[in-house]
Amino acid sequence: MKKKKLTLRQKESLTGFLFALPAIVGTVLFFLLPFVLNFAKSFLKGRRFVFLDNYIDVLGNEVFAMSAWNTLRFLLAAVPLILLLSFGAALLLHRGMRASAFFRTVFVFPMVLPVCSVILFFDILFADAGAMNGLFTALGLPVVQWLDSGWAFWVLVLLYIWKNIGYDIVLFLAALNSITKVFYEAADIEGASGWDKMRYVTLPMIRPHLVFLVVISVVNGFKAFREAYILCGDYPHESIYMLQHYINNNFQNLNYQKLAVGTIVIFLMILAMVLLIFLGKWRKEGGK
Amino acid sequence: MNARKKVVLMLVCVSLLLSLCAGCGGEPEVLEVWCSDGTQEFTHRAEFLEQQFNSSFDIDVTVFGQYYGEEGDAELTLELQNRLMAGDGPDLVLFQASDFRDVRKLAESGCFMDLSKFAEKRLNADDYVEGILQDGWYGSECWYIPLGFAVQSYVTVGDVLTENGWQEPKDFDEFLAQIDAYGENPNGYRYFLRPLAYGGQDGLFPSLFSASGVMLLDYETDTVLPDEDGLRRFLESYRIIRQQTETVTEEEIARLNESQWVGEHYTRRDYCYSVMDYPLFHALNLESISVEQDRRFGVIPAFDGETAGQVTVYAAISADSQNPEDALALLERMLGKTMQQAILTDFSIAFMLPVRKDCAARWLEGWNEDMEGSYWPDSSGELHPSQPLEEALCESYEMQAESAVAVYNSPVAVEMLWESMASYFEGTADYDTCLEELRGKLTLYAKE
Repeated sequence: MKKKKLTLRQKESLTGFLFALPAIVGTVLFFLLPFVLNFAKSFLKGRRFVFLDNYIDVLGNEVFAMSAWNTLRFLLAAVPLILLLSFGAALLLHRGMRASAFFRTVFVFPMVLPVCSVILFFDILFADAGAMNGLFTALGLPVVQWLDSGWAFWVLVLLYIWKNIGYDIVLFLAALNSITKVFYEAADIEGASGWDKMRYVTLPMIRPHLVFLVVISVVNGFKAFREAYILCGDYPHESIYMLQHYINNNFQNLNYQKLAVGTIVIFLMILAMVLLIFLGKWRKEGGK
Repeated sequence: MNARKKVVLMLVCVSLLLSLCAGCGGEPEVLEVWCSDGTQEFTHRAEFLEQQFNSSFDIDVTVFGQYYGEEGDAELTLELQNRLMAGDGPDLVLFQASDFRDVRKLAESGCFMDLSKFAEKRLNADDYVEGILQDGWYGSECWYIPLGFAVQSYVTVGDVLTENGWQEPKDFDEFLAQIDAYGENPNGYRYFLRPLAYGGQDGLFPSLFSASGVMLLDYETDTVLPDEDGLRRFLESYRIIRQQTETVTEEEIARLNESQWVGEHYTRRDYCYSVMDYPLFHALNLESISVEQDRRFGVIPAFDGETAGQVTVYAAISADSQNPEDALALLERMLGKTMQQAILTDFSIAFMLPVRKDCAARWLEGWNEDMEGSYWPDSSGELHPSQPLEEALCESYEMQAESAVAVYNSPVAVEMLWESMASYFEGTADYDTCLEELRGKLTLYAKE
């Protein structure tokens, strides 16, 4: 019997698969499999199958509801702000403002700083005996509990924007640089105003980058827990008590059921947001 | 199928069958007891436990634990937590209250077996300190059986009390008032607060707070700060005491560090009270006040005049135990008189009192026998004969300890209290602001 030889295309596919295999195995072992196990665990208490009891327990928990709302509120505040600010900065840099190279470095610099250094800096600024309160005292103003009051939310938003704006600026700059000047020249000939050029040339041309940035910003927004945790510990002010605080604290109490349900809820939240974003993009592109 | 293939198939089936049977022959059953105290004495305690139980059981009892040296047993605790979460917990787990962030919240995780039937059947109020046993109950379920507990004790000298016209304190308010007044004594040294830090908190803050009987959380109702008045009284007094102690001179600090315990200073009656964060039975303190002085010791009363006890060792059975019946039998043995008496002598996971009544008396008899004919040196090196403990004192102490009621404040909650009140103690923030910060944190903690 003759051995069937692989075609060139099949060989190439097999080679590509073999190269990708370690990554696939890693993804399955360290992401997919734990996720499936976690999902299964969310229906158990110990080894006992309790169906949706854990979900009812967690979704009815007022602290969980508060943490979910805080997380959503943070995203609704921080993501549009960072996109607006980074887009504005990218536009200015793209137009060749003075000392643009210097400002480019300034914006990108926080990205390369270690997180703990950034947190330390913010702690020095906003602690009860920190620099901000020192300034307020010098000006005769009352001291503010920046980290132990509702202001903690805005400190965290500021921290998130300061840390991540450089990344968004770089991507926006790349998007703006990819627009060929021909379109703007054609718009000038047509007598378009600056706003018209923005609306009909710039924004449509950078839409794919914008979608990507929105998704990344949402994902990074969920990661802001890291900064909140290092700055304020396990139990911060209630305005910045996020979903991950809930999950982390239940992990430390060995309450695996609540932990599992919490992670499933976060997954569904992120999935819903990303699907919404892509749905909007799909509709904009006429359903293609 | 040809004959050759039939023979091969038959051989494969027989081999599989034999392997199966070999697997079913089974390894000898082992009952695993987890003892979380990784100290130098562990090996001795493990051998003692195994020796005690192996003769009574058909299966082997293996006691697991390790000595981690000066780094402590954090890795051991982490291993226990990982095993419990993985559903591979040991059969019987003996752990300290400090091993987990919150043993009350741990009960919700489902990693331990409900022992309510066992507790109702085997443990009665006549034989055991009922107020301490209650700490293992969470609603209508019993998740832990306390094996030992601690009460905060004091040591003082009768002359100190007489000179100031005091009686031994009846409640915590009286205790604090006496300390506060004595701290104003221009002739005496400041007293009990050890200048050494303890986990970021003042030397005896956790011990004094435990003695007060104030609870930060009511776990049954998820109520935060159920005793706000008691908390205020405690913190206001503690702030004053702390400020007084800050005037301790370098000479006093050096002497305290050298002596480690303030017992030897009783010869000069410098100190009002020495507060100990474990039960009274510590040789150094007892010996050092064994000269001709009217020594007094007792349990620091809580605000309500009762005794606040803290469970130091819990016993629990893993929900995944393969031998729950044997684990229960072993646990019952540990609650018997022999083992409970041994807790104070051969098997001391931490300094603690046994949860079974009348066991401390036997220990006291043994202590007095050991004291006979022994001597101890004072600070100048002069030897003094040790005195046996007076029976009346021991009886009084035992009675106070055995009326203890468990008060549980998790290490996390006490740390929150300390952090929230740090500014208040330093005088940089007012009490109400700090209390609101504490209330916010505890509310999140209680309800999550």
